[in-house]
Amino acid sequence: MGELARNNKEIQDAISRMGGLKLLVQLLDTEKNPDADVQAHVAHAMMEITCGNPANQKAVVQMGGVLHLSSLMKLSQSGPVKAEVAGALWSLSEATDIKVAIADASTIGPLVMLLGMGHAFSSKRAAAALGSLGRDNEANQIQVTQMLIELLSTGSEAAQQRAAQALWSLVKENPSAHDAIARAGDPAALVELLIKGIPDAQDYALWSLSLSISPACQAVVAQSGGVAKLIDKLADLRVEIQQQAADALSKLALNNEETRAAITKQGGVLPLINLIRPDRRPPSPEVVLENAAKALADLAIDPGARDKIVSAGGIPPLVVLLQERRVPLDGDLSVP
Amino acid sequence: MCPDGLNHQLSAARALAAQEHGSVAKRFAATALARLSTDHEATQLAIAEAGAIAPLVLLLDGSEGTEAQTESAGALHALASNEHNRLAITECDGIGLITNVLACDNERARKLAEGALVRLSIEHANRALIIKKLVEMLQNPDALLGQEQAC
Repeated sequence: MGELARNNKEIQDAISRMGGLKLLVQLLDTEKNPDADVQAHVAHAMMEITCGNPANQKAVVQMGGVLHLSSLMKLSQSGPVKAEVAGALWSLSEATDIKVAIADASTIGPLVMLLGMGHAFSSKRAAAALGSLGRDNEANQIQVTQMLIELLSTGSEAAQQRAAQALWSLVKENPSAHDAIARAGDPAALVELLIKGIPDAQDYALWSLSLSISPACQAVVAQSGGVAKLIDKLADLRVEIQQQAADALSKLALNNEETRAAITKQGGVLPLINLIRPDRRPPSPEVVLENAAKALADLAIDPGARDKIVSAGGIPPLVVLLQERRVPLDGDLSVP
Repeated sequence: MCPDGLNHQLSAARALAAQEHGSVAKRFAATALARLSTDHEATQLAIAEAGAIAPLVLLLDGSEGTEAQTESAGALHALASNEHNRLAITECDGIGLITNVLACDNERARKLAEGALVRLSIEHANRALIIKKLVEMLQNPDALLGQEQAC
């Protein structure tokens, strides 16, 4: 039935009209149907029959299908069943109210676990379901982000890789939700990832911190060891990393004497000046200049930082910044 | 790794912001120079020797945004505590542009401009010019209105 219904709305509607959906939902009930093989096939059919079909999606929810799928996702010991259930959840979760219903049924945690388990097919389905659940739904974005960060912190290297990919997908697919996604992560956990994570996890942690550091978490970031690592990132060869590191340091320094002192003491001034030097090759793009200048301006409040900026030759590059008329370069942030 | 699509979104947003608000880098450079030169004569001189006064004066016209205008007023206010710098600001035609800032809507910019003029007036040679510019402002309310709108 699933194969027949694939990308065919006429057949999807016919199956529903003839009562097929109701029977399939009943077969998802583990008390009535304990056979894992059948459960997997039924979940697969559910995915195909509801894919792109809002009426069928709604009908499955009304028949209690989400609760059965959630139960299978949490309790089934079968990898194939979990993978197909993830596919069904992916297919079902187009409408906002259904995303909420699926999240309320505690499925996000098991989906993140499935993502980390290692089978390519299961991981792909889990990633798709998580992406769909998070799309345009802030509460789900926050929950998915927090659980993916936990997987980044505790999973195998392969699981971390998949978690990082899922996080970047969430970011890319929700351009208006960057602040909410960035703020969802625990600052101390993000700093730990920045220090010890795999390269993609470090990149994600830096992106997140660059958007989310606020007065409420400046102390946590500094006490967790974030200052030295953020300073290290200023010397990264990728401009978007330089820009984010300068942005994060600027936010860390804002109106906070202790964090400013820590940045100065741990050697943050010179690499910030290096980013705005006019003889830098290749020259820093506008966005890097902006963030580095802002960070230096934030630091310059303190006499100790002022003396470092002056002695490190910071005045001439700042004056050059005043003189040049720069046009923002489209594509400055392209990944090498 | 941060995806290309995200990079383009960020870049487009930055370009739009720059069009609306002028050069952010210039604004922060002015802020940094203002803070570096506050109550520190040697740094005030070093900043002037590096050629900061002329571009700071140019930012006063608001063409790079009101924030850059405000920060440049702040930097010139800080630099004007030094005699050599007071003369340099006058030589760069700074008095007229600082006076114009008194007519803008931004209270902080007005206060910084006022403070800068007070410091510039320490030099006897500047006083006549400052008075002339202030009187011109009073005599020409249309120009005043135009400056308010520009700010």
